[in-house]
Amino acid sequence: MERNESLLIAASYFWSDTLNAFVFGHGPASPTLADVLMLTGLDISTADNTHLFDAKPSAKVETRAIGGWSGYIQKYRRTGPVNAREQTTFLNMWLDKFVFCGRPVGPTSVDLSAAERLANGGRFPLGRYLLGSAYHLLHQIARKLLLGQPIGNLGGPWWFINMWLNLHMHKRLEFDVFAQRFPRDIAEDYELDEEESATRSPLNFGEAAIVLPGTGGNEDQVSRFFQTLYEGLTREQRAWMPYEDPDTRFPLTFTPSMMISTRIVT
Amino acid sequence: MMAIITPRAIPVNFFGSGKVSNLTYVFYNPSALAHQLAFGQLPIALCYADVIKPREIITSNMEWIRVAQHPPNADTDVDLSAWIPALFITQAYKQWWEEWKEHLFYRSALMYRGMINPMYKVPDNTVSILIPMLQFLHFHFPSVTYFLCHIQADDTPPLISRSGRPIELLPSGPISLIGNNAPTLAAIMHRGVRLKKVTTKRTKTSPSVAATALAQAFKVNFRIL
Repeated sequence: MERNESLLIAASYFWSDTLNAFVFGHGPASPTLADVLMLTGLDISTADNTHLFDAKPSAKVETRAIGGWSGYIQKYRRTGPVNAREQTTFLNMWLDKFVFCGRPVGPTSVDLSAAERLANGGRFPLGRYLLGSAYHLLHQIARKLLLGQPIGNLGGPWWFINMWLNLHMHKRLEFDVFAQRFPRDIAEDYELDEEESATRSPLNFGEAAIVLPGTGGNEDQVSRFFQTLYEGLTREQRAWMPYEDPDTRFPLTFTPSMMISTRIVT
Repeated sequence: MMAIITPRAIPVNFFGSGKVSNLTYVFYNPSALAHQLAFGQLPIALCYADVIKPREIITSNMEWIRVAQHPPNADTDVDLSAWIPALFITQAYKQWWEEWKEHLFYRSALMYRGMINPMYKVPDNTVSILIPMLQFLHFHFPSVTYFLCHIQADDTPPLISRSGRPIELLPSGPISLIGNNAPTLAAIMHRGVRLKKVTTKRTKTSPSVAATALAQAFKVNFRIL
């Protein structure tokens, strides 16, 4: 997804460490476990008795001087059926590079024990860990902003915060969640009918939220986002609970039965 | 659904046994965000504020279990069998936010808006007499809230709440006073002696140690309220 740097910068000024929420002009708002579930589908409800604290991976992976993540892929990719070892090495990269966006920006074995647990079919509330990481990232940014220190590379799931802000601001940005189109899987030898679409609707809120265009850290855009958040969204622009899906177009809906349709994405 | 609306401590940096970053925790406060979860929103209450200090370092699995199982000061016995998603904001919350907003986004904070937003023209009569900021503690509501404001020579934020209670302004620092006087993890684990050994050997700066150092830099005197 494209990072909306200006929106992230502007919103960071409103983070409250006390509430763990943004205090915007229209009221306090923050990513919740409901957002984690609706945007990522990650597990938020399993009892956390995994004891990852003391977990030691059964096998090590080489991470130093192998040429970054591309070198890591070259070293550990195999052909043939995927075994637990290969899945573990993949999940280690997925967790660090794409989920938690680790600070080292290169191969690391920090997430190896969690990756091993996932590869072996173990369940733990990864979604809670994601939210904790997002809150902690915003805490670090808020502290540095208050002290006037440069932000630098803190490492953390900026993408999730960005997705949440996209959805929280989608009415203000005049973005129709259901109107987005994505390429459809079409077999090479299949010919489309004239009226048949080559694209499809989004599958869930998460997919819809990642396609908003990004921005650089443009001062003018930061200023305009800041002003919007300072003055607060108008009543019509507010999307306190953006998961309204009256026509049930997405399989995962925000209803009492949502826990039944909860699925883990790994 | 209970997983979403239950206040809890959430682990941070729990992968990797603290080799890269210290293991700590943050608090999930769904009561502050009830209308985002399609519930009615009451004035905010931070149920962990006086229960346990936030963002302390976890040094053992036992400590994490203790933090995770430490009961928040909240009623979590909720029957959701007949629940229908319907977000609404109560009148009490509306009044609470209107008054709080009056302070947070007060005219006197406009100078900071000018610093952050270069396009914004700060009113000419905005003059700072107290740098960097003042902290506002509000006793009107069950949860003490704070914000950073800027005092002008000719214009001060309200010092009396709408209910007639005095509002006390204190110098601010980088640490929130709310929850700062809650029991530490060491106190909860009864590990005062062991804590000394651990802290003297650690070379990494913990969030709480860093915060204390920052507070000293700001010369903030914390008061038990």
